[in-house]
Amino acid sequence: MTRKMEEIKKSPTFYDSKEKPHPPYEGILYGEITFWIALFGMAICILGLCMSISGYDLLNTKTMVNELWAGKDIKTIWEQGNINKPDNGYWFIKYLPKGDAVIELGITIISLAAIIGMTTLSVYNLKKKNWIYFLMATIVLLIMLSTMTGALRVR
Amino acid sequence: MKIIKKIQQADKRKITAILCILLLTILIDLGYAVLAGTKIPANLGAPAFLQNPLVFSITFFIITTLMGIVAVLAGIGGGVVYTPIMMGFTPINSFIIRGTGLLVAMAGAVVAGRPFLRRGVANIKLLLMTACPYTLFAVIGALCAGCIRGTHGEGLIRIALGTLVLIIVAIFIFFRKKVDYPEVTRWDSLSEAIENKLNLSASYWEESIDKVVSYTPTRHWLGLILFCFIGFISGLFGLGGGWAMVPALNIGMGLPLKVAATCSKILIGMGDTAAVWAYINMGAILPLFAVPCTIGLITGTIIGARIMLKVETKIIRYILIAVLTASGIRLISKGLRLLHM
Repeated sequence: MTRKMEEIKKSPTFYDSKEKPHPPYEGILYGEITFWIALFGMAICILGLCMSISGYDLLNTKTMVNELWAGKDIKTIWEQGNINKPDNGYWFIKYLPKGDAVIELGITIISLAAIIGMTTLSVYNLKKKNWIYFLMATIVLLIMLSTMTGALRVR
Repeated sequence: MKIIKKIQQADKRKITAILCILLLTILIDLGYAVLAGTKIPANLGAPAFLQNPLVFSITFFIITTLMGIVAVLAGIGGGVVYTPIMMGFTPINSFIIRGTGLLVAMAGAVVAGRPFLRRGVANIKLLLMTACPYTLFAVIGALCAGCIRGTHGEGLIRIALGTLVLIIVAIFIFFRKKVDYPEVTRWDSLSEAIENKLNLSASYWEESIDKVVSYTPTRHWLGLILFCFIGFISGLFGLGGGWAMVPALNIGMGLPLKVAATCSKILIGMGDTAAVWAYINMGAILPLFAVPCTIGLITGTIIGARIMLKVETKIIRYILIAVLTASGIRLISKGLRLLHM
């Protein structure tokens, strides 16, 4: 419902109506996409966790916990697993199907949920020719993609 | 006379509550100091029982589930509870805790947002507008966190976070004012211009009053400035931004409380996704540590939401305030020690 500011005297206003307002379709789309992708990612994480617990892991848990509890930094903890500190989020690909790598795959999928959702929002607003919202969605998407690809990172 | 007596009684109750919180805080700090004095030196490693991966996972799952339940019952975000408590009461490196805290906040928000969007309570257009500054500054905060590392960086981060936690506690005690439906009758010219261009007005069905609620945000410029700040804090410290977003949207921009709360949840999912990737790329997310914490906190918030109406939340709120105050004080003292002061 488009309302010009001249028509609006007070906010909020309450009124009785037999018909409930329809939620915007792009909102439902974004919510469904992010929810199911994140849920799938969590299932993968749990699978990876079970594999790690059963011994099919990469980082030795005993050493990792000791290093963690000693307050060691991330470089030291990764080194004890004979892995060069990962400088990107995709280090796990060559270590699949080890438990830790499967967990990391799940975390990656969860972290992709909002990116895919934002892509959908961007495309939807482009199709509907809502240029300002297309621009905003694209800006947010570009920022997400910059960090996801490692273009924006600390070296 | 009755009114004066009521006011006096209300003040007495508040003073009593604050004194109880202070006492609890002192007890927690003393208790932890005693435990620390009898603790095994760090070079001997973690307790033996924690070195088993199953026990390690279950322990952190239970701890974070309890945190999630308490956070919901106390009306505060899970991320705000997780990061300060873990940093204040465990020896784990703060960069790992902050990355995990951000992941926890993000994952929970992404999963929780769906019903609010389906019912049309959360305003997707407003979310897109506020996501721009929030996401950008969350990434800047995360990148700053990566740059500020090493002893002096750790010290400064702990002092800053400890101070922030104490400010959050103070806001929680003294400025808990939230207005269900803040009344707006005037819009400044900038807000009018933005509103005419973007048309952020929306309506939703409010079940509790069986009516349609129609609202128009105001002070968009204030919201945008605040979200830059909130995003930076969220990315730097690994806190969810809900503690600041809800008042910013509710009181600052004049949105109904339910809209503010639901929008803040979804916005955390959007903005913190970009920031969490910065931590993932820097290797701050340890799989076996991050996953039990994430699943535990989400489970805790689900349980907390279900039992909320059946439990007396006041006492839980006081306990949580005491624990957060204690963790804030511990963070500052740890930070000062790291800076050799």
